[in-house]
Amino acid sequence: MKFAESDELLLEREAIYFHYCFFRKEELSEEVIARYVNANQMYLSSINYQKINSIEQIINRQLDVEAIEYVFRIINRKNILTTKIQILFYLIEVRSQYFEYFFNCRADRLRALASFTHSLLLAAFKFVKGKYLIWKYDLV
Amino acid sequence: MFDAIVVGSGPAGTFAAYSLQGTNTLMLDVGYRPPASPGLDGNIFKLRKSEEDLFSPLIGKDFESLHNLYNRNISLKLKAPYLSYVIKDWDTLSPVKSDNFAGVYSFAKGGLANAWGAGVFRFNDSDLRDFPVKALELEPYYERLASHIGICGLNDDLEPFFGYDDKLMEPLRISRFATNFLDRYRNKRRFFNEQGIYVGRNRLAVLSDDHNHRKAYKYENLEFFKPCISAVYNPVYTLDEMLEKQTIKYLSGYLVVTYEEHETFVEVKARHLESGAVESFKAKKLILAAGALNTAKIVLTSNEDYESKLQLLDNPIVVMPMLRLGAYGSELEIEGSSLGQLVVVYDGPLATGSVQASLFGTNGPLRSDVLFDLPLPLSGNISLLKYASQSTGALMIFYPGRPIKENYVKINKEGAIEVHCKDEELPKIENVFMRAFRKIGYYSASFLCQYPKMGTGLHYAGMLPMKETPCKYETDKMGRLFGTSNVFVADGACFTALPSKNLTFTIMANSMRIADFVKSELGG
Repeated sequence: MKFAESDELLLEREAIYFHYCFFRKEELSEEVIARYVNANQMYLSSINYQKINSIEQIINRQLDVEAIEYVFRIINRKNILTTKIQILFYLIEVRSQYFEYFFNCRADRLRALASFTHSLLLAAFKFVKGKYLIWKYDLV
Repeated sequence: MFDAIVVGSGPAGTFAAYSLQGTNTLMLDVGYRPPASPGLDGNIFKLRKSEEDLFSPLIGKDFESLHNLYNRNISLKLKAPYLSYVIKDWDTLSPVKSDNFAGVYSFAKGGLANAWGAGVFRFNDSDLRDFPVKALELEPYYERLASHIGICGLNDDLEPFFGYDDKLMEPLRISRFATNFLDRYRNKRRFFNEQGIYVGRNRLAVLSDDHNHRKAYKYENLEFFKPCISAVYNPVYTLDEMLEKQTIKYLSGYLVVTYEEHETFVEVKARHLESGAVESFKAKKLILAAGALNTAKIVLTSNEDYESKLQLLDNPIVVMPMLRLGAYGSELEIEGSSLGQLVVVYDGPLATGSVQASLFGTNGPLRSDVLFDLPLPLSGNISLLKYASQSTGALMIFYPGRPIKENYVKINKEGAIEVHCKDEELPKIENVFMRAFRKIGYYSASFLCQYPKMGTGLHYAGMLPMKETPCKYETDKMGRLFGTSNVFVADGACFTALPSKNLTFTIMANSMRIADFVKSELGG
């Protein structure tokens, strides 16, 4: 099935925006973008983007994708937004550039505990923010 | 005409053929082989840190590692690009219809043992109490296997369950998490033993020293991605040795469909997968070792029986994560293993028969496999996984498989295996473990435990059980199928019961025993 150029462009914009939201300091390689597009074309080709409006809205309005994904994941673990971000994460975690995001290379209990505390507080904030954004923009 | 035909090249088939060397034996097999595995030479973490891009070996050009995003969940190991051959075409060559069974099987050369955890445990008389075979009869075969494949471990607190073995190689090094766990258990040994809990070193078909032309284990943590790691035993090594010495004949690319017994021979019909043609092979004896489900299917199909229900035994499993708070924030242990680190046995009043569990680390799979199952927003999950991975372990608990009326297999006229099974009420030994391990600083909680579907443990057995006086769809003590003179069953299908121990070592030993008997009938 040949993909419309507009769908490919949307997928590229997804990859770029999702990556920016989580790995601001890193440059996203063209290779990863192409693989992201391929993976989506292989496995998520049946998505009706008119029915699932959230992805285009998130990108166009530069919304907090982490907050929205968090709430969607709580409601339905297998939702499309989570699946798309998971695809991106699979593609970037196998690159050395991202190694230290995922693996702790030095023992630092204090830093670890501080990070955990921050994560717990962030969870509450992101949940409330996600719920608000979903309501405000009627995201599906 | 051949002396014997062996169907399948997994642990049972390989060791049946091993015993039959010296006769004119043919092995028929589908026999998918692993691809070359470039890009995975060396420690996985050193590679991931130094190689710019490991897309091909870790994700796959067809995005094999993304399998569970769009398909029924399979074991994380089986979806890796270089390991996906292990279950290639399993659901097209021999479809399974089931609402709640998560098992898969293998048409690879070597079978599911290409991706096994390598745990090897001798069945004792307690494990064999329902079998018409005693431990003493299996003992010589366990001994021969141990010398052949090389087993590492220790005669420790688990000796009463695994037996004394004077040929064990030094045990593998274990992780900091497991070392600490074992040390704390030993300090409170009396308390644990009073609860019926025993902890010790795993017995693994893995070489801690060079052995029989295979090199010792290198702690590169590649088990989730790389096939045929030489130090980890695979029946393919034995099979390839036999083929090199030309002591058996081997034909791959054949799917055995049926057999028919005549007065002096058995005729086996097998479909050649490339041409689609059905070919006929004749032998004096037939040994079915195609894996329990497929062996059962061959027998039922050969009898054109679409009604009979054959019992299905399977080990229900529970996955219990554990956290050691004191290790939170520890640095990554670069050298290590994804194999079971320790074994925990419960032998107390709450269970009939002992319950065995293996403790695993959490460094094996890709992070993205688990990141989205954690309870925080994504950046929190990344941080949690990063700092907690050295302080967490997963205890995989195997319960004994009990015969339950609702658990059975049959075939339908469309050629599919129908598997019916029902989740059973388990005695919740995980709660016993949780309460006990808390005392040594290892924490878990009921809501964290996972209860995978039946079949997930890949230990199914019992469809054609061995009995002292068998009847239809049962086998005698030597694996001979009731109603036949020359058809034998050598894989897990002939198991009478399913203790919680990994059954592979006993499948190998029993298969050798059966094949030895077959050889004696051949006059060999």
